[in-house]
Amino acid sequence: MRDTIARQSDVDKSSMKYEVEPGTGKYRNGTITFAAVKGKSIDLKKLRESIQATRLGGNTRSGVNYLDITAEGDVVVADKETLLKVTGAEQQFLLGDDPKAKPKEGEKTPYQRLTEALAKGKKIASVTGRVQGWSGRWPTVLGELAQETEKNGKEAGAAKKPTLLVVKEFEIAEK
Amino acid sequence: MAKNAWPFALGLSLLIASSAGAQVTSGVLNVTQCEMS
Repeated sequence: MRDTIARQSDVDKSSMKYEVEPGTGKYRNGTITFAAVKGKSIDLKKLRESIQATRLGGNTRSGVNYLDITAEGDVVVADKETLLKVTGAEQQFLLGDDPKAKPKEGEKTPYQRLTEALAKGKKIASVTGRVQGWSGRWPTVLGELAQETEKNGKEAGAAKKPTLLVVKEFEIAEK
Repeated sequence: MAKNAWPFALGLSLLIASSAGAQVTSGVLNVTQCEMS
């Protein structure tokens, strides 16, 4: 997995870190952190295709628990939707809350705070969020993500369905 | 009037085009994998 990510042309290999949770089990959780090459944007479609080309695209009990990304740049509000459009790639994220999470009473979610900041005219510098669809056993996750991409590709000309990015935190640009 | 307005319209279009973009600068992938293999 680390090698697959390191092979991405838009990933800075020296930025990569890998931490495995302690334990003695055969299957253990590990966290891989990585950053983009300066001036480049990490293409999640290419990353998914590269992982699919490995044995993880076949029969394996290995899986993915989550994929968090940080994106820097403008957030666009269109048709009451808050979108994050990635420059130079066919990547578009719909910002939102986790549909499965139950927010605590009287507590605003990061996404609610983000929309409030936008309504006040603030400019968002960066957003960190969890990419929907990257959870489960690898063959299932990769198959479903590929189907989604294929479906969007067939609907050329029509509005493509953006991937939900569950907002975890964000930064407001300094004026 | 319309003749003088086009540079403004062009500037506004460029501003919108340049601002409507973001870059994925980092990622954190949490996986469950076989450590024995």
